[in-house]
Amino acid sequence: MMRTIRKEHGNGGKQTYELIDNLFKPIFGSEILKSGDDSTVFSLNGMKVGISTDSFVVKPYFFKGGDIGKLSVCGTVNDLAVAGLEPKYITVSFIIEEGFSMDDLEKITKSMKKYADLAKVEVVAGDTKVVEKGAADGIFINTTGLGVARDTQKMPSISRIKGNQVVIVSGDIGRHGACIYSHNEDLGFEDRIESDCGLLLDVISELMQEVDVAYMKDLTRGGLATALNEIAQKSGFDIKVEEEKIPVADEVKALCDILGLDSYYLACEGRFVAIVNGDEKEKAIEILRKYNGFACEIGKVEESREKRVYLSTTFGGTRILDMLYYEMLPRIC
Amino acid sequence: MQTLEKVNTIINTIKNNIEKIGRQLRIIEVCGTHTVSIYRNGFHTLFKGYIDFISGPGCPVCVTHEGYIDNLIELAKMNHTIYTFGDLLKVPGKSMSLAEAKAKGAKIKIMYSPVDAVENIAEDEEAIIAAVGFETTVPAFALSLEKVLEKDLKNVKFACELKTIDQPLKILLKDHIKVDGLILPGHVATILGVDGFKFVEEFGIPSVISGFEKYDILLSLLSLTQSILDNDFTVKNEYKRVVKKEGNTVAIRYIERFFERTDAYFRGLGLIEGGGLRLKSEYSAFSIQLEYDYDSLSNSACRCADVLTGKLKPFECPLFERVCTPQTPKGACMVSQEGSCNAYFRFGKWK
Repeated sequence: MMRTIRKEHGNGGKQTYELIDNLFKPIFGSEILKSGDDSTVFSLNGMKVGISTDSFVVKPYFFKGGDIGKLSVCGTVNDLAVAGLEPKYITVSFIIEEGFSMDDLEKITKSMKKYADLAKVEVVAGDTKVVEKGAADGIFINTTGLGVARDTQKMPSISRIKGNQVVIVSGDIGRHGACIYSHNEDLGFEDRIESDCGLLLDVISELMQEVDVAYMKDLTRGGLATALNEIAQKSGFDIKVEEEKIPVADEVKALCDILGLDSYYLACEGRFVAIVNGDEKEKAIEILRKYNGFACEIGKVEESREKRVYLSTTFGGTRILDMLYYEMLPRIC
Repeated sequence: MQTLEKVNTIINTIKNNIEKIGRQLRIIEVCGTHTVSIYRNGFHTLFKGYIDFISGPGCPVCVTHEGYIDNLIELAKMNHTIYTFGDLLKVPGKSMSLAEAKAKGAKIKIMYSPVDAVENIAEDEEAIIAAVGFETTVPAFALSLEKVLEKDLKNVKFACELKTIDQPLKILLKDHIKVDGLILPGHVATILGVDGFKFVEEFGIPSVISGFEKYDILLSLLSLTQSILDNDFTVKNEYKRVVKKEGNTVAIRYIERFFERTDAYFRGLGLIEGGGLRLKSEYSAFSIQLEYDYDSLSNSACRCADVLTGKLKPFECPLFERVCTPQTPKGACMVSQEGSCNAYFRFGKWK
């Protein structure tokens, strides 16, 4: 049977990783690429710099709390920020379908400019392609960002994760995925759920000044569960989180109940997990709560090394919290 | 905190009941939504050594066989638009699933309600409503047919693969399975009522109708273990806020107005006499005739039938995790998110 790409290959879950690990990485063969994080940090003429790239295909282009332009800047900037980098420059590329509204394009571009300014990044290069009607769906945007290390002595790194460290989430989860779903499914929820799409620069900057953060990862496609699994896979340690502590807003819970979704897999676009030593957790949570009242400790890194994520349920049971296995969402980012 | 104390008291009472009974209990949860709730909430680890949960045949997606999917794909190739519930998309046909057919350009649309689907069908569309499910969803299909009749739509037909819950349960309890108790499906009971499950009492097995929240399941386990302890075979109702003794009489009337019993093929269990529902002959103009070759419908290596009858744990099936995964489901129990193999795969019951 002919092998074909299915939507699941792009949902940020297990099949996305299989595609990257089994096809892209072996062919490209780059040693740096094999480290495989959302941003790649490397030395260049004695400087620690990092680069990240991301494409955005979200539909609708405008949603409560953001738009594809804001998302395309925040997404790449946040990928750099969680790697301990200060974003400096960004490139933007557009693939636009013939017939796309010029007014919408202008609105999207102005939104990109607004968030680039807020992030203090300069747009330094770009590209535009227009394809015939039907060859793309409205507008696709790629952004690539370059950043420099904030503090070369305290760079967050997967290799700094060890047993008994604490896992903290920066706010309530699943808002972006729930927001996009509510727009797409026409359930009358459109004005109820605001995406968490936003910049993480300020909170991360303050956190890194005050706390020695072992590792950070922003939560995007595949949500909290997929991010935790990626951390477990790459660090080699098990992670155990507690159901009762994971913050989910009531309106997101309600949407999940109606549509049979799982909030642990819903995308976020302005949340991250931080892994810190136990003696620094109070300070870390205090800082994070200045920016989002839902920030809290959700679990810890275990000593065991099966590379699994476990969830302690409210009643005291335990289950595996795996990566996303199935297509749960429309295009979300 | 007070709630958690109460919860712990209930958990301890359940365990005490089982200790008095003096053996690990085999309890079958008939409905797939219960399966997911049990594993999602960690009941399988909470009562490890006390209760062995067995997943029953009550997941309508899981028991939908490949012949039905193949029929829908053929109809889509003939330029029909197929309206289906989303969770049917991944069910494997002989050569592909509806999701794969959709990726190849077949006109397949996801519906949340067949009534809404009928409201939105375009005049130039030749629409087919994929009618799948147990008694829970049948009234919705009845209502949508009523709407078709009201609007005098000539371009809408129903492809019926509807199932009844009583026949497969009777066969399971009579021939296949030894269990101490049953958790009965709350959604079906909403329609059929407590009376609709009275037949279970004849088998001399305690049972309880349960809701789907973790607290519902906990209280149902408390009730069920008490029944087992007392040798009480009366069907208990622990979903009283929704389920009435006589059920939803309006919905039952709708079912009886439009549908009649027929034989049905259950993936994993085979052809079951009276296990399905079809449109009555006076509505045959709205029904698509489906062609099945029953002999070709089983995967010899797949042990779903044994899983569905509690003879085998999912991870004991030779296909489990090796070739049968949620992305490449080979059998009934891996197809839907509510299938037992799927739940084992995702939530790790073997831990």
